[in-house]
Amino acid sequence: MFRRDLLNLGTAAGAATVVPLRIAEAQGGNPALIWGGNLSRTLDPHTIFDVPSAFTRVNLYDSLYDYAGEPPEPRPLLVSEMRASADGRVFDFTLRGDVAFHDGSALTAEDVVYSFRRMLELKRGIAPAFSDFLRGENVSATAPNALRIVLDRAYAPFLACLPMVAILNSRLMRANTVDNDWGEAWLAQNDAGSGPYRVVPGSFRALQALDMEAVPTYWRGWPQPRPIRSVLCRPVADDATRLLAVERGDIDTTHSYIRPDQHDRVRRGNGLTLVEEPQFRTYQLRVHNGKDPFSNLDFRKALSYAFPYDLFINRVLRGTAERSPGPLPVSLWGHPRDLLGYRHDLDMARRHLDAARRAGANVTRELTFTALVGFDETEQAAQLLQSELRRIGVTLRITKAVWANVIQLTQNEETSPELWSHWGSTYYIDPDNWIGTFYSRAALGSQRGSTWYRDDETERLIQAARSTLDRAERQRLYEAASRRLVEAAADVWIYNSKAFRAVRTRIKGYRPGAVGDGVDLREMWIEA
Amino acid sequence: MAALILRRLLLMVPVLFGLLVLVFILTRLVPADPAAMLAGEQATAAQIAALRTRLGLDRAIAVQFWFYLVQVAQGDFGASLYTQRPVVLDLAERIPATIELAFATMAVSILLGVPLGTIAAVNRNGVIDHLIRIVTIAGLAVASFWMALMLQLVFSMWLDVLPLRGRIATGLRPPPIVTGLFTLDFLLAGNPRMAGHALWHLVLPAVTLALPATATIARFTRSSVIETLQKDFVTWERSMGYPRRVILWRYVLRNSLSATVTQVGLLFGVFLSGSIVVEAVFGWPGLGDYLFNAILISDYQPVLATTLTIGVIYALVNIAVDIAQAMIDPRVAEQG
Repeated sequence: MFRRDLLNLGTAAGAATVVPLRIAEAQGGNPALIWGGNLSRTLDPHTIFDVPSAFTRVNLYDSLYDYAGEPPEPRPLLVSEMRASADGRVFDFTLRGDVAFHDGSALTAEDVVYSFRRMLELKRGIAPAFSDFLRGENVSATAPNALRIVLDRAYAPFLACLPMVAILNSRLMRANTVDNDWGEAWLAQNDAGSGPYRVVPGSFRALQALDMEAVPTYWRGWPQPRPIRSVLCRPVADDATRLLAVERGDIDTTHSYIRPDQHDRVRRGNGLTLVEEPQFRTYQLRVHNGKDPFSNLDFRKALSYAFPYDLFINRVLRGTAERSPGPLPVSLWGHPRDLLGYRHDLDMARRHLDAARRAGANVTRELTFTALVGFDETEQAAQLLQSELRRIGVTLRITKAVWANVIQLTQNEETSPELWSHWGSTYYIDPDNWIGTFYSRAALGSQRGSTWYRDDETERLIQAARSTLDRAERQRLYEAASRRLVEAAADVWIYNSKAFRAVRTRIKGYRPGAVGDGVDLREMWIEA
Repeated sequence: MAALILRRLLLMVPVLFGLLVLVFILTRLVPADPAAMLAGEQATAAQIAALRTRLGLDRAIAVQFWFYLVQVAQGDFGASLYTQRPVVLDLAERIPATIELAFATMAVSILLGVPLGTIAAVNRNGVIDHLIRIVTIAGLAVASFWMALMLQLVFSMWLDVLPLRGRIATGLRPPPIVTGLFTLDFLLAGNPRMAGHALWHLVLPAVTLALPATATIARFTRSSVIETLQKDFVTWERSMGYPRRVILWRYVLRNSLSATVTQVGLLFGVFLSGSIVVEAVFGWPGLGDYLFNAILISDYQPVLATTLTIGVIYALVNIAVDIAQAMIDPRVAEQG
């Protein structure tokens, strides 16, 4: 047996030398999309919320609302009718009657109730975005296709939060629940959705691989005549290999973080397109407002004037981001169009530094900037700030910490970093996602609240904006809050992200998702 | 021989226990909070604290360790905090990939390193010796990620003769799992063409990992062969008129391999734990990649289980090395 195996091995090596197998051969002439974007650690849409998880959430599941338009606004998806009470606390939803899960069973209000209760009970991923104003027992079915959600208090961003909640097949979930785990172990590897694609059983390996196949009977139909029937997700971990892989055609898309120094190569690449994906993600230096000398307004202003915004955006990022002068993404409503923010001006920085010194702030002590390991950009920003501060007589030390470490440090006011870099990701598209979760009192002790900013008037504006459903009024309140935060120089706001993804030109109909990697694969097709 | 194996196996127990204690303490000392990572970006301090309690991370380290020991004693390595999937299942998927790569690497490094070292010794201080020295020092000096990228550029992109990454091409079905080693499993499934395909995917990662190991083996072999060549029995064999080739490859090499074999055992540990970069570049779904991702998010159970697994494999390989040494040199077995 052993000798025969060895012979076979020799023959096999020879055969492979002569005729190496190709991907096209593997696909039997039926082209699959080979998605090279990142994958999450779990397929459970309720326990994780990050950029990659949006891809599986959007394509495997449906939600009560999704986003549409530019800039994106929440619009009904599974809902045919919605009525809200005048006080903004009670929402009555009527569901469409033509939606079926992947196993063929109908989607009902019971499934929605189960999904909300599960999400809130597991207390992870998206749950913190809801748990401040919603309890599981206040989500109830009023009819097979109708439900009522009662909020503890009015929360205007509620509808904008709904696209985050994937609706699960409650019967399937209960059948796969072990030891009251809400089916968590099972759902991490499988799907229980009603979305346009379903998981090929056994194909998911965390961060590595996932195969999905189209659901021909999907209730929204298929807009393209030759839709993509099979999707093979094969992320590539290494930057350089990722680019080689897409150039070679081993994958059809990369993730959306193609580095600026790789853009020209993609543009020149044969059969490649560089897709620019506008994003709401903001990048800011978080400033610990509770620690001396950062507790001094003039010192914070000196910091804001000292940072070389244009140099950073145009040289380090090679112009691949948009200057953002305040806490909100510039293209989002609520951002004051006339807000100028701070510019790089060392004379102004010196002037404010002198004022801080006169007010008794300890401006001579060494300050610390915590850069994130694995995110070179954070270190480059720190180095630029260090260089500029040195010119006005302030010493800045740069330390490095892994992300997990920084998250722990930010939970406590004493240990929270004095300065660190933070990307403000989009959970829901509403100004509250940035101003509310960064600067409200409730945010203190979370990584988003690591500014330790306490201001009664800002808090009043945030709570007022949360409690009214009047968009014009909310716009006014967020504009006022933005101006107040900028005047307080609470953080150093630098830019809005633009994401860049390399896509093979054979892929048609690609449109970036509204949140994270939430690309709607139904819109795409592969050119023969 | 049996006594030697038994002694080595017994010695493994305290070694692995020590490893477990050390890694457990280190994971808890790292200033990172898995509950905060898991809770999400918007979670408040209170929500994170509640999750910490639910995960049992608020207990004293000694208590946590005791629970972990009880769990491991029952063969349960726990579940990943993120996937809720038993770590044992993840390891079962990944260990074969790493072992397959490690064996391929070992084969390449031995097949290259031993002859190179022997040839260098025979041509001591000659041109060939100097050339081999330059090559082996370069093998040690070049960073593996750079070498990996260069090999990809040349053999995958320019010449297009070797695959860029992965264990098999995207879209192809893996073999029915018997051993987890794709080359072997394809053969067992009666599919020699796919076995060759899998073997082809091993070439670049194995060569990348093997280059520094080849250098080490070549240097050790060279020193040992030079030393053996000066022994009396070699002079005696020469005087008896034995052919040079027979003296060298049959007698000298056998007496020189003891140090090299020990080195191979040590290098196997490097192949297991030091392949993180190579696994990332070549998309090789092994233990290094798994451990790296678990460390990034402070997912304790995979970190502990992977470290312990690498420790067990490393200890077993070194027992195998001891046995090999005893077979090469029976005095080793006698001395224990």
